[in-house]
Amino acid sequence: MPRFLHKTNDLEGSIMVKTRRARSLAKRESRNFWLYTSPWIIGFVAFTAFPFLSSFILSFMQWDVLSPPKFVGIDNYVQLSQDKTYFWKDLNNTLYYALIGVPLTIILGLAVSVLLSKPIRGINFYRIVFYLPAVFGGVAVLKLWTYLLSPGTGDGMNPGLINAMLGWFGIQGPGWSQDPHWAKPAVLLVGLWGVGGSMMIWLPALASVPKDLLEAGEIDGANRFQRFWRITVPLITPAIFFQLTMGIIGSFQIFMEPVIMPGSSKTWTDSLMVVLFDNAFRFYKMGYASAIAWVIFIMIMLVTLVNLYFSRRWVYYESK
Amino acid sequence: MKKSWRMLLAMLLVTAMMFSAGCGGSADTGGGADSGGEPGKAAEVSFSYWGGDFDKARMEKIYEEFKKVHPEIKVNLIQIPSDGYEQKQLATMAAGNPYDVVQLAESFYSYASKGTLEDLTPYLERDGIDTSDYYDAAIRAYSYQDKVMAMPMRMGTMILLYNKNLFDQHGLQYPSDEWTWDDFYAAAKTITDPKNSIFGLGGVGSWWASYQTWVYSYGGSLLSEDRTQFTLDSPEAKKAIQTIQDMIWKDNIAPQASQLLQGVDMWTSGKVGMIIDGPWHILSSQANIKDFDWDIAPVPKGAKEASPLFSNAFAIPKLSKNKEAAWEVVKFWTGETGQKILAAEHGEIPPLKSVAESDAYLNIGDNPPANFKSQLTSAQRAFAPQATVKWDEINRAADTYLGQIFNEQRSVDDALAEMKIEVDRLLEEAKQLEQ
Repeated sequence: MPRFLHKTNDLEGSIMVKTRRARSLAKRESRNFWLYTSPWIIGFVAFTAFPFLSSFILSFMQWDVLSPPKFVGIDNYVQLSQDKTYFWKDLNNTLYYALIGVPLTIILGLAVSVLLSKPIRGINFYRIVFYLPAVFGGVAVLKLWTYLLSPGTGDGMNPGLINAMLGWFGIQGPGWSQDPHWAKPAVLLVGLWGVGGSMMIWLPALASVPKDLLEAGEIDGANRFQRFWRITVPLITPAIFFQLTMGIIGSFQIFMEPVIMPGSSKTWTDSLMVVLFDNAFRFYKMGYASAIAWVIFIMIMLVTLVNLYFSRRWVYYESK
Repeated sequence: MKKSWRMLLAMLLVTAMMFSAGCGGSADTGGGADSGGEPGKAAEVSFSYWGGDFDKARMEKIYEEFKKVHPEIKVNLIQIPSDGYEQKQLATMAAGNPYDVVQLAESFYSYASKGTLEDLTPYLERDGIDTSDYYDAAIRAYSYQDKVMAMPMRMGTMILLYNKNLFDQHGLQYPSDEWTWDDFYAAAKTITDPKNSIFGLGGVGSWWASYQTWVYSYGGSLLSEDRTQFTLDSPEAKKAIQTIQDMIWKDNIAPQASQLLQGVDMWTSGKVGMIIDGPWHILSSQANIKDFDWDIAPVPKGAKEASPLFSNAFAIPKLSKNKEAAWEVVKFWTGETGQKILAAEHGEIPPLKSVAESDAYLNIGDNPPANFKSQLTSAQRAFAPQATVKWDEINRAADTYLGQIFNEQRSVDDALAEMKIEVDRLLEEAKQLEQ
């Protein structure tokens, strides 16, 4: 065989080997990709996608778990829209938590964080003190709050600690959970106790505000308030936006507080998540509960989209 | 990629449908299959119950005795925390793999109406067990369409507990078995002293057994006899509910919600003359009250003698694979030996009358309430709650609307008119579910 032919052959051969190798490499890579991501994918499919889709289908069905599900079209949604006693009332409560609770949480959280960003002696101690409530959480703390907020407004009754302290200043404390007007504020109050937890977001944001800008402002004669309002706040709008979005989502999902410290009538304090839970796991109306879940989902989605849309007008990113 | 996503979605949908359809179907079709496990043959029975350490000890004690009589039957006692018990039971039933013996309370009705429980009537007849040996209300509480679907293990009723010292202080006569609501009201009014935060009656509320104590003995009811009509708006029932509102707001002989203390028991701390509540107060009062004398009585009489029944019972799911052995277990636990072990606790009343009336139950030991025997009067006067498939939802409706009457002074007529709309809807749903 002529030498050049042989060489050509050789060349062809090596090219073929290379492509085969490349192909098997690609194959192995893709196999590894699926292998390494499978824990997440399986988890996602089994515990997120599957329940997500099932609940969507179930929301058009009537299912009490024991009998086979029955297709009922949009009945669940129609019934939901007519349920003034629970759904609308609880939606109203949820919106209250969102509209009053979220701004309060942001303002107070930011205020506390501004104080905790000052370089004073023992700052770490203060930071720990304000952060601790975020670590202690859950049922035990809520239970404790029900004692602290015990009204005891009757003659000769011993009030809880909060009303007792108000009493020192001659203030007659409210009935809190036992009073239709104070039950919801009581729930919010307990949430505000953990407001220090948000310093995890605020402190880095405050630290990232360039010192030179603040100094320049000071030289130009801006006072503390002006420097904060015109320099710091615009620069931390991304953090405010983040807290606002997460806060609204969180307040639509508020559940533990109204369950552990309900008003004398549950309807004073119940949130949408509570009515969802009750329908699913107390009354076993899985279809109806799924419909509620989807309504909550769509509301959160819409609010978040609106939020995102308007954020262009007031959120300032340095990179832009 | 897009295509495979679509595949995935389609597959998910199909599995979702299969899953949900399969679940219900299996529970539905399981009716006919007859039991394995002949009596006398080795068999294993799974037995699920709720409760804590106390309940566990009792169950194991009864099992020790059971072993002596039925060495061939192995019982797996499965303790499930009360919280989440119903969900667990429902899940196993829906999966078509239930426990062989299950403890149930008012939710028995839902299971029975969906055909998931074995009718025990033939077993009772075959073994010559006379249900009239048991308190009537306890048997009726677990009857569905005149068939006994579960055998009662424990029962209790709403009772009246009173603080003798407060009665003596005002020179009042102690409550008796023959007391009427008028006697009660007058005594409570005398005892009440808001300046010292003393009330005639401890908390009364929208909890079913609480408001129904008044409603049923005033001659009213929540539902009609056949449980298809809302009757809480009858004149008798309205009068009862108005009376409760008056007790809280007009005469304030019972505390308003804002007058209650969190974490303080107004009864054991001697702040109230009387409470009308469950029998569990007897043992805790015996253990905790040192500062005053107290006793018990049946709840006062109105147009009727009626006190709400609390109870629980054991049932055998239709899909149990070991029904004969399971029946032996139920029979033993609710029979004389099991009932005697329960009686020795002196807490709840054994539904088997012969045991309840014996010293095993009545001899209660240290610091007993003098009139402990009135428990038996209460048991005779007990009425079974009107369970339906919508039991929990109707209770929520009561909690909501009666809550408005008791906590917010809403007018009885207005609140009940709204409650009627909701309960009527629930009863309509119940009718469809039971068909």
